[in-house]
Amino acid sequence: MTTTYSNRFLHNREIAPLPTWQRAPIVPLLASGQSSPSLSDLSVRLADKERAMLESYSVTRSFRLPAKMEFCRLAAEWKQETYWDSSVTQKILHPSYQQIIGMGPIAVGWILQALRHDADFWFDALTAITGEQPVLIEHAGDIQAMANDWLEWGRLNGYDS
Amino acid sequence: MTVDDFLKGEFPSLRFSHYQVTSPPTKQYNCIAWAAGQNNKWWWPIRGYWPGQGRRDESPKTFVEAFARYGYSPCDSEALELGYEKVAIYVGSNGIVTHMSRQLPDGRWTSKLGEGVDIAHTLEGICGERYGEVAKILKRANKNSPS
Repeated sequence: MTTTYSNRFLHNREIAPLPTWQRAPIVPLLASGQSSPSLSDLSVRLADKERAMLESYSVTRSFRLPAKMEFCRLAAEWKQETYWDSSVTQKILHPSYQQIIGMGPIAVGWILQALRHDADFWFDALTAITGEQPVLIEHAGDIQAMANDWLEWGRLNGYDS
Repeated sequence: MTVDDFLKGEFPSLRFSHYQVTSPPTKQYNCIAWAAGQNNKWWWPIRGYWPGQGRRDESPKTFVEAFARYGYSPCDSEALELGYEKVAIYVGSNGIVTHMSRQLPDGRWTSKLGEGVDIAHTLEGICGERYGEVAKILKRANKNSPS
C-alpha cells in the first residue's frame, strides 16, 4: 500500500494527517557550493544612491530638534523647575538656562519674543550672549521695567519682529 | 490637577497642616519682599533689588543685616508675641537662604511661593526639599502696637 501524507490510515490504523507545514518540501537557502555573502560584499553591491540613503538614515537616527524647538523645550523645562524659586541665582544657574545661553546669538530673538509675551528672568541670558547691559539701575527688581529696557534695546538693534 | 495637588506635590508637608491661598501668582514680588511687607519688586541680594549697600551674598547674615534696616533683630522663638512682628529665614542643606515668611497677627505665617501664589500656612508647612528648614527668626516691635 502506498503511504501518502493525506492518508488517514497506516497499517490499518487511523492516524491524523501530517500538519501542512510538514508536507512542504525542504528547499536549501543557498545553492550547493555557494558560501553566504559578507557585509563588505553587500556594501560593494549597493548602488551609490542606495548607499547615500543608508548614510542619510544613519545620520537621522541621532535625531536633534530644530534649534527653535530646542529653545522652547529648554525654556519650558527651566520655567517648570524654577517656578518656586525666589533665588535669582538658582534660576540663572539652572542647566536648561545655561544651555540656552550656550545656543548663542541665535537665541536672542527668541528670548526677546518670550519677554514680549511675558516678562521673565531672561536678563542674565541676554547679557551673557550679547555682552550688553541696558537695564537701568533703578529698575533692579522690577521685572517688567527690566524687560522693557531689554525690549527697547532689541528695538534699537533690529529685533522688532 | 488642582492648585491644591500642585502645591502639595511641591510642598509635601502641606498635606499634614492647614494652609490657605491668599493671592494669585505674580512675578512682581518674591518671598523676601513679601516678608518685608513689600509687593512691587523682586528682592534678592544677587541680580535683584536689595536694600542698602551692605553685604550681598546668599548667607543668612546678609538677610539678617538687610532686615535690621527695618528694625528686625534675631530672636529665639517663633511663638506669637503680642506687640511684635516676626519673620522666618529658611535655608537649604547647603546653608544658602531659600525663602522667608512673615508671621500674621493670628500666629500663622504668610509666604510668597516663588512666582506663584501667596499662602497662609504653619511655619513647618513649607519645610522640605525645596525650601529646607527654618534657620532664623527675627522680630521687631509692631509699629501699630501702643508703646
